[in-house]
Amino acid sequence: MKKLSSKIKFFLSRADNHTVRLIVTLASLALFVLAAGAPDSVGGIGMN
Amino acid sequence: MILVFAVAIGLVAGLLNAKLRGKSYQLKELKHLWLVLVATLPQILAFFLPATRERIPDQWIPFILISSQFILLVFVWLNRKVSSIWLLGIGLLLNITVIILNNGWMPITPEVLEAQGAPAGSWQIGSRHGYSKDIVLSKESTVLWILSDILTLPNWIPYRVVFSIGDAILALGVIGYLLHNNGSKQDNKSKFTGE
Repeated sequence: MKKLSSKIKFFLSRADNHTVRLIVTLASLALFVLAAGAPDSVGGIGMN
Repeated sequence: MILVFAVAIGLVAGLLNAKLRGKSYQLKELKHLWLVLVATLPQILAFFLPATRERIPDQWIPFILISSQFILLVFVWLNRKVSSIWLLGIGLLLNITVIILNNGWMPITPEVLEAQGAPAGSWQIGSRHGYSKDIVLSKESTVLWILSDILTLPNWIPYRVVFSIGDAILALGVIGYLLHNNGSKQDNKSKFTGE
């Protein structure tokens, strides 16, 4: 866990502020469409 | 999950668009992103995480779904001046309308399930379909059937999914937002940005 945490800190310190914001925005959009949408995966890939 | 592909498609299209125009990739800033997390968390527990969704009674689902989507509506309203966000709002509004009118569930008809090859016995009229947001209802019993899960992908795409008009508009909204670039002409040091 400590190792993971330090790796994340290392990544965030390397990535510039704008890139982090882009990633946060994209993750939020993905969460938004997951919550706002209601599609139904019927049989998965290759069915029918 | 299919709507997450829209995010990926929008990102690729936006990056390509920025590159072709020689601009940096810069998105309009969205405010109050924490609202999205607050709205999504209960849904993740109720629909996506196997360990928790099995323990949440179906009776709770309408409350979880509707309250969560109302929080998203607030988020959309607070960001209504951002381009394409209004499309997200319309898609969400269409979905929430049909969900409210059908007692907190997104309806799907047996005909659509059969046409999409859903295994017989995997669904029952009047019951929730798996761990989805959908309830199986006949067309006659569905209020505002046109806004329910009736759309499917073309047969040449080997992924069986049924979605609503609201879902399709959500996908257009997210692609439109990601395609719209606020970036300026690229200098050598600039990259893509999320501002």
